[in-house]
Amino acid sequence: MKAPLAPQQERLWLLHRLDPGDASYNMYRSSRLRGPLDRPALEHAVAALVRRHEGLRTRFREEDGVPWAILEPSWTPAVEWVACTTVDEADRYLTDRINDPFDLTRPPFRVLVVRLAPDDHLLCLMPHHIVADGWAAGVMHDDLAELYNAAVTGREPQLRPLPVGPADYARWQRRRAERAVPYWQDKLAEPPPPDLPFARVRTAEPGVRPARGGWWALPAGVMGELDRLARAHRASLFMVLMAAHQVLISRHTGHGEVLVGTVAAGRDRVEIEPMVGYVSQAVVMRGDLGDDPPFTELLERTRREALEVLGRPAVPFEQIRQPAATLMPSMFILQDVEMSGRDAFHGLRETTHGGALRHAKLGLAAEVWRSGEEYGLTMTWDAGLFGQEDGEVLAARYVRLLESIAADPSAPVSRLELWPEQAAVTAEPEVRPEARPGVRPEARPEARPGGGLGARTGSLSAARGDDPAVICGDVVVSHAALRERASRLAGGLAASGVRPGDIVGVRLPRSPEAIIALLAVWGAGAAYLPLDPADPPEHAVRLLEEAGAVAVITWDGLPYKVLDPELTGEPLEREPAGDAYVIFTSGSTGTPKGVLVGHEAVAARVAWMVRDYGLGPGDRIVQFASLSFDAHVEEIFPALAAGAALVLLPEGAASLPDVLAGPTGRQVTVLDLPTAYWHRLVDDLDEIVWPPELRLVIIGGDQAHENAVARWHERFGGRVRLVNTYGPTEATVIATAADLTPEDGRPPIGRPIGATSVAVLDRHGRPLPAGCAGELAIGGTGVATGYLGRPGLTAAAFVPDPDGPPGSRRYLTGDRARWRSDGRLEFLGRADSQVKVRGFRIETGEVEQALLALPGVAQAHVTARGDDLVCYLAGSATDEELRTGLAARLPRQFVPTLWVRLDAMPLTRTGKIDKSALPEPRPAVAEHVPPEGEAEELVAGIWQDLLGVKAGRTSDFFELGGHSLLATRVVARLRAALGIQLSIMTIFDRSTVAALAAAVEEALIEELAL
Amino acid sequence: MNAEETSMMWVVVNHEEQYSIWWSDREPPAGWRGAGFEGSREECLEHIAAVWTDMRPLSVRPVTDEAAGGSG
Repeated sequence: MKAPLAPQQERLWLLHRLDPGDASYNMYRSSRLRGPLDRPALEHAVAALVRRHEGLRTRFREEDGVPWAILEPSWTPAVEWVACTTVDEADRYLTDRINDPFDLTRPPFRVLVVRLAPDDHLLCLMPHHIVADGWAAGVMHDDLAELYNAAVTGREPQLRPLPVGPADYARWQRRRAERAVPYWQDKLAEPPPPDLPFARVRTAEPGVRPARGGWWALPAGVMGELDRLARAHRASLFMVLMAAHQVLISRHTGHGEVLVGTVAAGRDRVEIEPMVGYVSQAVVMRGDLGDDPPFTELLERTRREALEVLGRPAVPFEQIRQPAATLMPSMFILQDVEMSGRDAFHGLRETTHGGALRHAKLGLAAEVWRSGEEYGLTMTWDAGLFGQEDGEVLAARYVRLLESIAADPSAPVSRLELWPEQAAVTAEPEVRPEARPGVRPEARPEARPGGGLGARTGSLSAARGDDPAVICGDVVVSHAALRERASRLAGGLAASGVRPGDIVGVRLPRSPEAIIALLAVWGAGAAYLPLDPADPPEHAVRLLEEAGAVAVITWDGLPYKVLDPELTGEPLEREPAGDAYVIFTSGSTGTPKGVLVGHEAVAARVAWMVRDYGLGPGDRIVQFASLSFDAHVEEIFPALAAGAALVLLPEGAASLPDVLAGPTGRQVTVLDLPTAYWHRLVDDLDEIVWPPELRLVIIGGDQAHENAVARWHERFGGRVRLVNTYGPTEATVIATAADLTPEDGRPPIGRPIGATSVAVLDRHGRPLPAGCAGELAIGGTGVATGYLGRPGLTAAAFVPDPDGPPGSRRYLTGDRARWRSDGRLEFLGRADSQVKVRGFRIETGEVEQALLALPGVAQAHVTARGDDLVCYLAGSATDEELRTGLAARLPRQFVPTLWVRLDAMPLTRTGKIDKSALPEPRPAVAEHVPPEGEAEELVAGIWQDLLGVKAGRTSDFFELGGHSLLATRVVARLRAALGIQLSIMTIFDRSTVAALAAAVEEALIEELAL
Repeated sequence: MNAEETSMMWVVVNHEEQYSIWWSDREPPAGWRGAGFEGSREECLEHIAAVWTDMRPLSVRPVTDEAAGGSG
C-alpha cells in the first residue's frame, strides 16, 4: 500500500535526500528503568506497538522523483540489547546510536535497551522525525508501557481506538497545506534579515552541523510572575516567553522585525490524538518591535499573532522559495513535561534519561521546560555559528531579560535589561607591544624643531636627505630634493594667489610631481583636493566647483584656473593649520560630499602608522592607491615621515605584479592594498614574484575572506605580517586594525588604533556589549572637520561624544558592526543603501539618479552582487546609450557592470521595489533562445512538463518557478530517460537549460568511459 | 517607523561652535550646550543648516574673520 506524504514529511524527506548523513531529524525518548525488566514482555510489547502504529512500519520510496510512504504489513524492529558497565559508557553508546543516520528506504525506527545491571536498564525509542513528533513520542511511551504491563500481568491491553492512520492524515493535511500557501506567502514576504546574536556569518555551507547547548534553571518566582502577567493579559506563558525571545533577538540584531519559529502540536482533532505520526507544524511568528512598544503592548501583538498562526499548517518553505534558515533563523518552544517519576511500567521505577543530538537543525533553538512549578531553559545552537561562551552569555541574557520583564512589564522593550549597563563597552585602543620583530630602532620619527613644511604631520623628515623618497621607474627623487621642489612649488602657488585656508585641486597621474604637488599645497597653507585623471573632466570640474577650489594643479587643459606642476617661486613652508585635504565620497542625497580632514587628524594617523607598521628608512612602500581615495594618505605621509621610500607604479605602464617582478619591486617591504585587489593576488599566490624583503601587507576597504587569509599564512608562515584595517574617510583613513591570523575565523576589523575610540550603538544611541549588532561610531583625534558646505549633514553625522573629552564629537559611520567575545570588532555591512563594490563605496541612489536623468530610462534599481554593480532597469535605452551616458557623468566605479532588463520593476504591497523578487543577475541574457541539440531539448522538455512553461536555453529553473522538490523530479526524469544519476545539487548549481544539458552530456561521457 | 526618527531632539553646540543634535530628554555630554532650538530631527537639522554659516572650528578661524564676523 502506498500513500502520499504530508507536506512536512515531504520536506524532511527532501532534506534527507540532499544529505543522507545528516541525523539532525533523528528523535529519541529514553527512560531509565530500575527493577526487574521482563525481556520477553518488552519484546512482545515492541512488536505490538509497531503492529498498532502504521507510522512505525512505514518506509519511503522515490518514484519519478516523488516520495511515497509504503506500509510494511509485518515489519518489526529487532530490539537491540547491549550491556554496559557504567552509565558513562551507556551514554556514549546511546549518543552514538541517537546520532546514527537512518536509511529512509526502510522503516526508520530503532529500539535500544542498555543493561547496566540485572535490575537497571535504559530504554530508548528512536524514530526518525518523518514518522513521529514530540507528542507521538509520548504516545509511543504510554502505549508501550500499557502493552508491556498487559503482557506482564497477562491481561488485554487497554488502548484507545485509532480511527485515523498516518496515510489518511497525510492526504487531509496536503489539502489543508495547499490552501495555506497564499497566507504564508503574504505573511513572509520581504523577510527581515535572518541575523542572530553573536552568530558568525557562514563562510561555507557545511553538510552536517554540529550542535552544542546547555541547560539553565529559571527562577520559580520570576516564572510565577510572568505566568500572572500572561493571565492578566488573557495570554499564555508561551506568548510571554515568545515575546521575550523576540526582544532578545531584536535587541541583539537591531532589527525592528523578527521572525521566530515555533512548533504547534497540530493535534487539534480528537481523532488524531492517539496516532503516532509527524503531525506537528513548524510555523513562524512575525514580531514587530520597530516602534519600541512597551513589553505589554508587544505581548498583546504576540497574543494576536499566536492565535492567528498556531492553527495554521506549517510554512511551505519550498513554495515560498526561501530557505528555512531565512524564514526561521531561530525557534522558541515551551515544553510541558509531565512524565517525570510517573512509573508507567509495571514494577519498575522510571526516570527520564538524557541524550544529545549532535546535529543542529537550525542556528538557535530555545526551549523552556515546565514541570509543575519548576522551570528550565535549554538552548541549542549550531556550533559552526556560535562559540560556547557566546551561547552561555546569550542564555544568561535571556534569563536576565525575563527578570527585567517580571520587574517592569510596562517598560519599552529598548529599556528592558539584558546586560549590566557597564557591560556595554567603548573600547580603549589595544595595547600593542612597542617593539616588534622587524621594527628597526631608527624607525622613530624625529620631531623636527621649529615649524615648516609638514612639521605637524610629521612628514618630510629632515634627516637622511640623500635617501630616496620617491622611486618611479628610473626616476629617483631624494627626501631633500622632494622637500626642495615642494617648497619652491609652494612659493609658486602663493605667488599665483593661493592663500592659507584655500582649497587647491591636484589632478596628476601617479608621479613624483603628484606627491610634490600635495606637499606644496600644504606648504602654501592650503588644503588639497585630489582628483583622479582617469575620471571625466566634467566630473573634476564639478568637484572643484563644489569645493570652491581656487585653482587646480594639472597638466590637462581643464576649463578651470589651471596651475602648472612645474611652477616655482621663493621656497615657502607655511605652518600647517586647519584642513589638510578634501576628499569627495558618495553622498546619500545623490550628490557627492566633500570630507574636510584637518592636519591634527592626519598627524595622529601618521604617528600611529609609523609606529605600528614599524616604518623606517630601509622600507620601500608601494604607492598603489589612486590619490582620489584617502588610502594614499596612509601610503605617502608615514613613508616620508619615517624616511622610507615610495615606489610608484608608472601610470598605465605596469601592473603591480609586473613591478614586483622587476628590480625596483624586489626591494619592496610594505604593501598597502585594497582588500578586493589583495584577494585577486592571493588567487595567483604562486604565480606572483613576491619580494624577498616583504614584511608587511596592509589591507582594507572590504571584508577579508577567511580562505584568503589561510592561504596567505600557508604561503608565508609568520614572515609577512597581515594587517586588516577599517575606517571611513570621515575618520581619517583608518580607525581600527587587526593582525590577522589563520585562527580568526571570519577576519575581524580589530580594535581602535591610537588616539581613537569606538562604540557600537543601538538605535537609541546607547552603547552595546559583545554579540550585538549596531552602528559603529568613531571618536578621537581622527574625526574629520565635517562635510564641506553641508552644515545639516555634518551635524547629523558628527555628533557629541559622551565618552571623549568635553565638547568632542564622534562620527556615525552608517556601518554595522559587532564586538566579538574576544574584544575585537566584526564588520557586518552598510546600514543604509550605500554598497561596496571592489572596495569602492557607492551610494546606489546616486547611480540611480544619474540613470533616471538619461533619456529612455523609466525605472532603475542599483545594487551590489559580489564584485559587480548590478543595475535592474526598465526602459527603452540601449545598453550602449546607458554606458556612454553614465561614463560621461560618473567615475568608472559607479558604472554598473551587470545589466538586467525588466519590463517593469516588481513592487511590494507598499509600492516599493520588491528586492526579493528581482531575478538573480547574469551576464547579458538574450530574450528567448530555443534549446540547441538533443541534450538541451531533452532538458527543456522535462522542465516544460514539470513547470508548465516553455524554457529557452538560458532560462533558469528557479526563475521559472522550480523548487527543490521539483528538482528531485528533474533528476528522476533524466535517470529514466538516459540512465544517468545526477545529484540534486547539480540542478541548483547548473540552473539553466544549457548548463544542465552540459552536465548531462558530461555524465553521459562518464558513463561511456566506464 | 523608526524610534530615532520620532524622538524629539535639540540643537547643541560646542566650544568650537560646531553644531549637532542630541535627544531632548537627555542631558548633552560635557562641553555641549543647548542652542535654543528643539524639534524633530529633521527640523533641528534644517535649523542648523540655516544658522551654521561658518563651519570652520573657532580655533582655526583667522583672527581678522572673527573680528569682522562678530559674535553673539
